[in-house]
Amino acid sequence: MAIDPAEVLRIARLARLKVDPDEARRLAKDLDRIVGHIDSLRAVELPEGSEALTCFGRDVHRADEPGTCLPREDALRNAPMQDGDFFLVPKIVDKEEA
Amino acid sequence: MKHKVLVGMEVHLQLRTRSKMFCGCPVKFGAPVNTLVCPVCLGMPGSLPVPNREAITMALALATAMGCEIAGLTKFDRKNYFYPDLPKGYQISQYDRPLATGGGIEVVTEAGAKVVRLRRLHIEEDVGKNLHDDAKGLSRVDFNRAGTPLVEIVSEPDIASPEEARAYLNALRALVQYLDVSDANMQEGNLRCEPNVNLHIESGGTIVKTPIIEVKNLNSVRNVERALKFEIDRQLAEYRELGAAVAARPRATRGYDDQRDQTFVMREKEEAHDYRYFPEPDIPTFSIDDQWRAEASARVPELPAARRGRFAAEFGLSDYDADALTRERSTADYFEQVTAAGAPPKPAANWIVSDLARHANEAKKTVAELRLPPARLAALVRLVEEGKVSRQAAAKDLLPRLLEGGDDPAALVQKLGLARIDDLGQIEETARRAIAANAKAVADYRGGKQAALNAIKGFVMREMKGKADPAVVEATLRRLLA
Ligand SMILES: [Zn+2]
Repeated sequence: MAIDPAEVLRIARLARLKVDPDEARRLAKDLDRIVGHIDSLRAVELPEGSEALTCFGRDVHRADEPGTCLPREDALRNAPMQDGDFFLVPKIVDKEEA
Repeated sequence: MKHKVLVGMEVHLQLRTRSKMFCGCPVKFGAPVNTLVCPVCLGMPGSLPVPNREAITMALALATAMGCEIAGLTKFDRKNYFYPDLPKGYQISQYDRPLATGGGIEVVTEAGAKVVRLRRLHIEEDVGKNLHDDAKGLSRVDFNRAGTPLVEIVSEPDIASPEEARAYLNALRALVQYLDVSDANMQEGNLRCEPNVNLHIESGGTIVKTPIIEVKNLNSVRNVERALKFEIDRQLAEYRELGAAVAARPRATRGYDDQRDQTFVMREKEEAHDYRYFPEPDIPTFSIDDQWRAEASARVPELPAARRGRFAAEFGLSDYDADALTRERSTADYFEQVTAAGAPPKPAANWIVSDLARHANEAKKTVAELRLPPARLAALVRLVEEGKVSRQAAAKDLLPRLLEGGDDPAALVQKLGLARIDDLGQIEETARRAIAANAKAVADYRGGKQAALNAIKGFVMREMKGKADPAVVEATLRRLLA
């Protein structure tokens, strides 16, 4: 799949990232090459009946045992905005509460 | 104009595990905000999600109970979207390899029983909660709920009316409670549902399909029913206005406003639907082997429909009583304990379904939560059946005392002077007074109005403080008035 500057700007908007048109052109070129590499993996023929769902390991689980949580002040420490209780984000209006 | 209603249901169910889906944070309701969080559920770099085996087993038990086909090999995927209820920028869900597919849920309405087919069942993590009411133009985010295990159950559009939608949700809720895998309470948000609805309208030999509308913001079964009723009428009106052109209208998501009892268009950006699913690289594929399946099957108890049938057959109960007793697993268990303690089944069912259910309703509890020891109710039922106390006095005076902790029904009957009055002389004497005091009712009765007898009978029962047998009172009155 080809990634063009318009696609870069669209993804940037979804991710709330500021990207200027020059950067978008540069990023589009890089991303297009990266995705191109991944696309080449699709050409690999897999043996009949093989299940390559993920590339490593199998069956890793944990028992249902509660562990320790972070103290709230640590949880909030890296937040760009917080009020001591909540993470604060710019007001969201485009989707209702799930 | 003939039309067919097609409703599909998407239900999210919070599983009742002790810890979250991919980390050890406890699952709890009402903890102080942002205290049930850790590097994994906050999506901090370098943290590693590890699936909770118990959550998967619960989901497997549910899938087994609904007759789904369980996948041999399954995996988690990332569902990418940018919204501040997700700290990671994606939700761990399942895309093309769901835990289970197919199966169905039997629903019973007045129209009869039918099976609503299921499309799929998968596991995902819940998201955080946003509070949008901040005056400063900010939203506040609490991540306590983020990472709670959810099961998503998607039905085929087999539900043909708002009543069936209600029956579907009630049946699913009963099933889940029997399996003890979720509280399944819509008000508390541990069962959330998003129905989608459209109509197939027959018009001049062709079928016009209205666009599929998904409805959100529904917090009770009643609102699901009301929202669907509104939406069906709205789509019919839209068809009347636009004719066949209605089919070209886009699919949409509408919210439900229960104050106005109507649905409204929700603004939603088209690009929000581009989830760019890809396999979750941090969680290895897992296989559901026979042993795990067996472990899940072992957790499936006798289910509501089977139990309803058995109660009707084994105890000779009416369909109504059998259904009322089996809707809650704890109530059905309680009934069996009461009969095991020596109460005859039919009257015991009647006491539970009418009297105890009313007390439970008033206290906003389940019958079992009233905590009336089964042996005590059994003793009360026997006292009534043996004619030691009238049904009425037992319901009005004895049962409330027992619910308050009174412990010996037979002793209470003596202590409260509730023993049934079988003295026919005393009954006749009271009946004569009742006839003298209710001239109008007596005239009405003699004039052919059978119902007028109830007023006279009520007088006798009141005079005798409910201690007489109503059947004897009635027979006495009929004899005296003949
Ligand atoms: Zn956590």
